[in-house]
Amino acid sequence: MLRIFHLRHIFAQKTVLDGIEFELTTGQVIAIVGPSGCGKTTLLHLVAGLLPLQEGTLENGFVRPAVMFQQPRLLPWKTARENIALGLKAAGRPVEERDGLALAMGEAVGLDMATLDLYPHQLSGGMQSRVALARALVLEPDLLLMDEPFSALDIGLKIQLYRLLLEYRRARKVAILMITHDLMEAVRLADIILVMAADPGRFVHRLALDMPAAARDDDFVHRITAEFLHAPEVRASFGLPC
Amino acid sequence: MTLLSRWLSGLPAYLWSGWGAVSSLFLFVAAWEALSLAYGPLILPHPAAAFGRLIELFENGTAWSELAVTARRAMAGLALAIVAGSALGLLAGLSSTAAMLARPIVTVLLGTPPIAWLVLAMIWFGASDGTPVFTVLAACFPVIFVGALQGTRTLDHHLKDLAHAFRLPWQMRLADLYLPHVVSYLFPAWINALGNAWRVVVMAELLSSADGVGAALAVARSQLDMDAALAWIAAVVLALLAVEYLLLEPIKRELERWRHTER
Repeated sequence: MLRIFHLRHIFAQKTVLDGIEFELTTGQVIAIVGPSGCGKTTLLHLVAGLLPLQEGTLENGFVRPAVMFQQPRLLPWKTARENIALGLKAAGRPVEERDGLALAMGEAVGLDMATLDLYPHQLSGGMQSRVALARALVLEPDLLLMDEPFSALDIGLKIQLYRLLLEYRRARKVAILMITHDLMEAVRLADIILVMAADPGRFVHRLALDMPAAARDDDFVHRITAEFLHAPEVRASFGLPC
Repeated sequence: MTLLSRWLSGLPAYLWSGWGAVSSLFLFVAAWEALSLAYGPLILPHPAAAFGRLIELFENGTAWSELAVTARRAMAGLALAIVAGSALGLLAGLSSTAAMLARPIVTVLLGTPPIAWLVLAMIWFGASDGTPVFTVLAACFPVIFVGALQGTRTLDHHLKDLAHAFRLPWQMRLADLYLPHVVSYLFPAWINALGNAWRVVVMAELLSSADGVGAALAVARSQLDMDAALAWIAAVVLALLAVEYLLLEPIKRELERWRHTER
């Protein structure tokens, strides 16, 4: 599990994050929502170990974390399949094994054999996001960190990828920490939603959803999102009039 | 091996695609012929005469031996420039301070005409091979250095984060991240430098050496032998085009397949 206490982060003499505390247990999905520039990405980078921790405690008991970034960030000189296998290669898995796993995971996210042999610039944005998702999932992570991974996709593609993610989550217990500014996305996927306000980045509201994500339908998502948007802390955090 | 077979199998299609270039070259030769007919062979010899002399030079072996001497010098200078320029450029790219320090110096080096280096080299190395080799090195080094520097400086920090997040070991960072990216900058710089090397070496030989294509050009000039002068010029240009389009361009295509493949 992941535990964070009293986390504070200062960048260029500005307090980016202050008093951050939360706990993420095995198989749980936490979504952090907030306006652009409130420090969400910094928090995710701290958890991913891409930034050094300055103040506070960060206990990370997960052993196989994987990251999905805001952009697909595929290596342009590698085919889709090689991109998916990147983490496996880094882990020292033999060629045939990682090739097979990459193929299976590629197919699981809806990419066929021919597509998997293409280079990233030949793929559409949606395909590239699928590759990025497969690249993270193929590592069989126990913790998946996602930084607005679907923000550039249209609603149809988003829903397809949500389904893929939920299916994967049902099969394996993976904890997910996701960052988004899309409230509907958070309501659709998360067990717990944490709302972050800016200057300094801090949590101002918490919403726990008991219904399992797979059972939530569009009506549920719309209703909860609307209620959620009425909470004064949420409105204030996004700069909406109360 | 696959690289070689792909190079061989891609060659016919690639050569076929060169018809456009060939026809425009023939237009150029036609213009040359028109000018030579208008001004007479003393000013500009007929193309057939120049190419006839070229074939003659190849047949009696002088062309091969002079080209070999010139190529040896150009390649020696180029090899030194590639090693030094790539290594130093990569190192300078790793530190932003070094990159900032290096830029103005390289601008000065780029702005220095090769003829200036040649004068210095003639003083330092006299009539030895050192003069053309050094001049080529001085002319090619900054081009390659800048390519290597830009290659490392432009490496996306997003990709560095990715390497970190997916725990790529250093060998993989080098082989799968840094090298492919840097090569896409370095290789064009090397090809530019090759063209430079070939031009500069002929100039250096013309003024400082007793053998090589440049020296042969100097002899042709002193004897007012226009056929020979044009034959040597054609030899130099053809050799450069052959290396660039038969060898380097296919390699470049192979290395950058990820960039050019059609949608």
